[in-house]
Amino acid sequence: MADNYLEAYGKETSQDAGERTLKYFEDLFSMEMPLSRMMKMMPGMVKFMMSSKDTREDLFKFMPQMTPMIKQAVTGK
Amino acid sequence: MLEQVKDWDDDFYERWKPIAMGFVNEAERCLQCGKCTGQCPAAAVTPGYNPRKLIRDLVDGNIKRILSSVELWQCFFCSGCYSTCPMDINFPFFIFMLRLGAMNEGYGWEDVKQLEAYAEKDYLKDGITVSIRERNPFVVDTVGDIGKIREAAGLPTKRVVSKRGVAEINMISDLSGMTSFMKKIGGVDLLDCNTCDDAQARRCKTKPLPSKVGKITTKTRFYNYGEPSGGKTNAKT
Repeated sequence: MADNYLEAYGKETSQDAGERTLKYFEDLFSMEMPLSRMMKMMPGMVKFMMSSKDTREDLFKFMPQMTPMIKQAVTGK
Repeated sequence: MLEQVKDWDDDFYERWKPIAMGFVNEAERCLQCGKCTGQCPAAAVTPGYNPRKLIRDLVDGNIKRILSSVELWQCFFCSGCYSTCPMDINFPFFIFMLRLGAMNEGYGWEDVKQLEAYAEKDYLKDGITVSIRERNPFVVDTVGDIGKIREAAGLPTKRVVSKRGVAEINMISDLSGMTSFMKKIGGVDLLDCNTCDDAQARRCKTKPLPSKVGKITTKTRFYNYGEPSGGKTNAKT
């Protein structure tokens, strides 16, 4: 077990750790909508839609805004 | 000793700014006046915690030291530093972002793991944002958990959230990625008791450290800003 953080990182420099962290933030702040991300959003939306008539109507009001996102996720463009 | 190590990613902060779409800015204006540390309630009870040093290391690019530190997790977002700062630096936001970065490096999962019961049993199922399960043993012994306090006040043990409210919370959680994040926490493996060493076994009794979260291998953090100069011995306490 490492005694301090320098030992824990071994030969890796802050540059390496920084690159990894920046890559992570790039993914985090990405505005792209891959299918996997869209699929993770679906269960909550379905649950919300099934909850009552009010919620169903609420959700359908957002369909015009959501359609391009869904299209992008499915086609990948 | 650790103060003298020059292992810095000089342009980390400048490269981070455009990626974060303007959310990350103004840390470079830090005067190092220390007002943030002076008023910080966490720093008052934890001498090793020092927001000023964390800001300095972020701007200098001492990434390894920040991400692997216990001190990164000692802020509790009161935002006192933000209101005191003469340069209006939103320090709690940096802490929030850096914690995500630290988790990506495998640090801090023993703290996040404690949210598992709250996430699964209270938040997603019942829509309760303040858990009735008190985790602080001192509070449980002296006052009791929040459920008992609510009962004494003539309220139901759990706050009742409407069906629509729960549905909305679930949808917002899904859209923001919180559900998948919480499932990730729920899916972490605990340390294998057959292979862990004595130091890990001692930690296990209070804070189980998951061995892996997805593709991320978890690691133990260090008191990088504390006295004496960080390290394993200090991290045990």
